[in-house]
Amino acid sequence: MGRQGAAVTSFFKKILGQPSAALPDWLKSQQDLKKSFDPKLSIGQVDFVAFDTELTGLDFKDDAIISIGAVKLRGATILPGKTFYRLVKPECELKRKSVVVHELTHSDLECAEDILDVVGDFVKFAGNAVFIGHFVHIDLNFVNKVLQQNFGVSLKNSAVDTATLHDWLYENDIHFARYHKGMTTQSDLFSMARKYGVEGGKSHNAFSDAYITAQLFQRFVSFLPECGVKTLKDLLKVARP
Amino acid sequence: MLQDEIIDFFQNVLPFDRLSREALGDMVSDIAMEYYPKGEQILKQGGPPIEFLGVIKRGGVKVYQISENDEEVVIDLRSEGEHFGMLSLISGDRSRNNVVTIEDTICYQVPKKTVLAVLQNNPEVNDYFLKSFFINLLDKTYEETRKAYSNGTTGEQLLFSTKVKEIVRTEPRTVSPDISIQQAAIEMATHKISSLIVIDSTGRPVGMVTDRDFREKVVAEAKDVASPVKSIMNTPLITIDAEDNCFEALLRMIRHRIHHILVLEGRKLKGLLTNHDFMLMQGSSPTILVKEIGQIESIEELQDTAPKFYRAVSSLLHHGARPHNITGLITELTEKITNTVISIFEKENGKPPIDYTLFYYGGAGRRELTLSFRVSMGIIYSDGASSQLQAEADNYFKLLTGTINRSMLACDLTGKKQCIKMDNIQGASFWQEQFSKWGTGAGTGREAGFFDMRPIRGDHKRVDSLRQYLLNRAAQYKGMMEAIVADTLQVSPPVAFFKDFVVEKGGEHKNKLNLYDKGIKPLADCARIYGLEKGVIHRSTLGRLHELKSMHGFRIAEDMAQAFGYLNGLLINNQLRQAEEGEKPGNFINPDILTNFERKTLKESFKFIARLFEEIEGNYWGGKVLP
Repeated sequence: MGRQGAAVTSFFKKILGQPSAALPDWLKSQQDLKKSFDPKLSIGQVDFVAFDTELTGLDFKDDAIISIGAVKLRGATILPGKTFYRLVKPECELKRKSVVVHELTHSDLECAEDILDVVGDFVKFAGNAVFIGHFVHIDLNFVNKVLQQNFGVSLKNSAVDTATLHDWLYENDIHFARYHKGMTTQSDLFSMARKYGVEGGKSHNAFSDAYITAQLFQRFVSFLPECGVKTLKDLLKVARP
Repeated sequence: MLQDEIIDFFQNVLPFDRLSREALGDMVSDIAMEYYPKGEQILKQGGPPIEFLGVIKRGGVKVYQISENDEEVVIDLRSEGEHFGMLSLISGDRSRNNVVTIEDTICYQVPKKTVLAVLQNNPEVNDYFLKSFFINLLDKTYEETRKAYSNGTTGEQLLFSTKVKEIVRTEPRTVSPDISIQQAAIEMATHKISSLIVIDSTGRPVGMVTDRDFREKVVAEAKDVASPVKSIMNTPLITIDAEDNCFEALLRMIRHRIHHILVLEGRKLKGLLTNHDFMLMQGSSPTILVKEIGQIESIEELQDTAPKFYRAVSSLLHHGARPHNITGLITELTEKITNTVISIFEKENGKPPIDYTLFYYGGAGRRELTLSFRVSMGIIYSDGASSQLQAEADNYFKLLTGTINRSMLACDLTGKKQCIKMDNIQGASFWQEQFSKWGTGAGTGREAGFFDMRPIRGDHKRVDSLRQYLLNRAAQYKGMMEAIVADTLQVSPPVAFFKDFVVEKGGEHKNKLNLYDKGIKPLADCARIYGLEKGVIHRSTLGRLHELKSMHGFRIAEDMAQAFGYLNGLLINNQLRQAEEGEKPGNFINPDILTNFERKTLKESFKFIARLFEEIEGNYWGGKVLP
């Protein structure tokens, strides 16, 4: 990401106040994360947060976050009691297409909150965990966009990508390909969920997608020890976003 | 959201269904969800105790023990909505069983402290867990006992007839009541045991101390470890006399909810009996049945043989026998009966006018008979007899056939089906001519089961050379293979499920499923086709599959063998159930009585067969059967 010095327009400065002048506590402690980061931890000891965002679209400039869903893991163990799901009050018009996909309309979002509150709480929820996402760079970019606009900083957490991890396993672990009788040609979350027998929730929203991502991660991790991937450092090498 | 889904799930899991939604909400807040690939060992017998209760969300596990003879004794298969690890969790000392996933499995893990809290606050849940193990065991053994007694056979070693002293093994460690708590703890640590029996100077047991007493009465209350051990021991002791029967011991353990009971001889300590000992008790032995059949002198004595078969099979099953062991045994015993019947016939009617060989074919030839006993036989006699001798022989064989068919009926082993037809009694050259016509069209008497022919009585060479002729012909003549494949593909595996199943729509077997015709036979047929293609000599389905895998790297063979074993096991269990209910064991199964797990596995097996068929069909029309 590394967008520390991204230009902040005077317009944003005017309505949002000076960036980085006073970072709130939750973001300040976040920025020191690298110091406590221990790449030698075995994967089973690492705290992860699998997350997904819903967006009005994929255009980085015009589109924005509609909702964020997340679930915590300790190693490959999902902790279903530790979840996060919040809706964001829309700033730009909801595009017709995403209304169809997510079935969220303006009226649904009436109970939604300000984007900064949601992102703030999400960052607090995640703490110093390592993020897991499917094509996670997209979601991270949108979260960081909010942080950049408001404070001129980005998240410091490490992240692993389930799409990358899947491709790597397919290339490098013969058991994996054989076990799953070949690879899925489609790498979108739902094709993969179907292929690997992961049940989604009843609805398609940021939370159920995050939950599916967590379960895919769980499946893939079971193949890693035999490939010599044991520590967080090893994992980051093969599942880099 | 997710928590609600999980609460919904637990509301359908015994005994958590008795908890309120609120209580479940508390419970769910600190559970975990874990994924185990197929074949992963979750718990190891004798290993460290489990720290959570595993509740299966999806998939299934096998719970088993390794006996002292290194045999695997399967205790249970658990599937969705069932749990494992409770015994180990409550006892907290070590794991009692091995738990291994038999398919990809997702489990919820309820932490130990949460489970204990739930047990403490909900007596009815507590009761459920304390009882279920024993009640299950009791139901099983009691059923066996009931049957044994109502039929009055010998050779059974069961709960009612076995005395406690006959199965007690464990010699417990004893200490005197006056040694210090610390000395007692050292004693336990040295011998790596979790309990001690306290005996007085005359050798009479007066109390017992366990790990738990050290936790609850010593550490928690900061008691002086120099105090005598008798100050923390449990009294009174629950005991049983060595002369009492095992059933009484089991009852007493249930009544007092304990897993160990002290066995006394007079007033002296004899040993310790655990619930494990009951599981290792021997049942009825099939060897006795073999002996009985050998001693039969008239056909009338064969009556009531069937119930003895059922008991022998039931006992084997309970002791963890594999399905192929059981079909092997049933076939073996059927052969014994056939031979006995013919010996009796020869005593009355003399030796045959011309030499002949009796053979089994089909399932009996492959040694794959189940309790529905579809035995098929045939006779090959020497060619070239004079017409007068031939007429004598024809008459002799007619009588023999009548006797065999009648005897099998008398044993109540074949139902209405004739096991030997007059058409199947032919000279060697006639058989060969018959086989040479196979594959040229319909109505040639083609029956793939003849590939599995196996000599039972008489010169084996007649059968072996005829079979070799058939095998050679299959290898050389493509039309014959094509015909055999076409016959096999006639059956359509029930893969389109209504709700969960396709069953018979009417008639006697309405709403039932023919497990043999739709599942077991197609698998045997496929194995035969692949085997013929590769020139495999084995007759048995598993033998064929094994060779296909080891000699020809045929990967799918392993899955075929597993499905074959599973379906046979399911069928035999169902047949025993039918026998218990006074029905004649058949090949039909009522899907309603299956557990979710069984139903699901069955469904997968049929899907698998359908895929095999597709593959055979696809490859076959390319002119070759194997890929």
